[in-house]
Amino acid sequence: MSTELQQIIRLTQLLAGVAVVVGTLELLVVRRAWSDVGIWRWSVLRREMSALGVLLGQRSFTAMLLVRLAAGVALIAGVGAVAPLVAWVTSLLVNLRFRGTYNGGSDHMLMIALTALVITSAGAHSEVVVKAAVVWIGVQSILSYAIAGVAKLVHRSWRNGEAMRAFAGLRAYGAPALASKALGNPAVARYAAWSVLLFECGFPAVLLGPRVAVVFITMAVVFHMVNAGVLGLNRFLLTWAATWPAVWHVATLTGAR
Amino acid sequence: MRNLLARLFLPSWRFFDDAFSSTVLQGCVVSADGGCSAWTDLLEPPTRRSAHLLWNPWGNLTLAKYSLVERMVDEASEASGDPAQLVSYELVVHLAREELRGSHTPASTGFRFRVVERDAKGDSDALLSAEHPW
Repeated sequence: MSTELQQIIRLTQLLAGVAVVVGTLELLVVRRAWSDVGIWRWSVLRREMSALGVLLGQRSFTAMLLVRLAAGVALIAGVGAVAPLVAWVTSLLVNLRFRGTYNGGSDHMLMIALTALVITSAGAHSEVVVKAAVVWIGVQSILSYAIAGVAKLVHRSWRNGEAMRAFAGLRAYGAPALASKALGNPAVARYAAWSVLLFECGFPAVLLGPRVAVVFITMAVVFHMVNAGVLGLNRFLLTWAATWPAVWHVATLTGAR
Repeated sequence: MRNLLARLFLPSWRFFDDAFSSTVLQGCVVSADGGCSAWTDLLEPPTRRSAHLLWNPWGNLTLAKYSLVERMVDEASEASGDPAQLVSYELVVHLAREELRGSHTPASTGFRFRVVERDAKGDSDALLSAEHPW
């Protein structure tokens, strides 16, 4: 296997490990919500997943989160050949415990990254298998931006900026007053909306090569940091960061260096 | 279980394409005479700090609560029977009870919740619960 591919996998492991650790610690902090007296209490959930009671009841779920935490740390440290598999299984169980996902898209993308890491770990002897797994992460990441962009572009409200203003006003996100005020200006809202549209719809341009990919990944860092700062979507920043090394690798395969 | 797995492994990637309607959970306290107090929004917006760039457990919990309510409305609209039998409905009962805990008085017998779809034109009811005991 090439040194470059090994480095891509190592970086992906490191960043996915950070996402696993932060996500797990966050769940432990809000443990009352999924305890026996909380919202997602097992006494209700077991109606549709009773077979998993051994793993998902309150005590076993706490223990399982600690195992997931250890797997995340092992991914960061790059130790333990089974760490990706343990992280994958425990992440799957966490998502099932919340009836699909806890935080939507970021959980989807983390499962994709972890699935690929399991494949790279299990198929380490075959460069073709490893490369295919890395490419799969990269393609999913590129698709995620492009599909999200096109889905917005068809809405007039995104093209004229009204959607940006509306999002800043949604209670679920608690956007800072400064951001809401700035987006209250139609010109600022339109500029911000078109920045998002051009970035997301243009993301497949990374396929032109690593230089373009570096530009778009840099924009992605800014994009996700703004989303985390304004909308509180820190998990999207952490999880999508784990896909950027694979995006860069795809760019090296498809474009001119 | 198959639906749960499909939900997890088949992402749509269509993020934030519709900003103009939001699903809002409201609650009221029921008094002994059966009357309902004024409806209030139950899910407070999360506060935002610079640390939330990397660490945001309470903000993510709030988003998970909103997702739970939205999923309940979806499942209730697809269900042929009584929505109160849904797992998601029962979870929302616990959510509403927890959010209304501060409004609990000895004189009140229970609470109700409702889900409204809020857009520029105002609120429209999506689901109204029966009374639930504390």
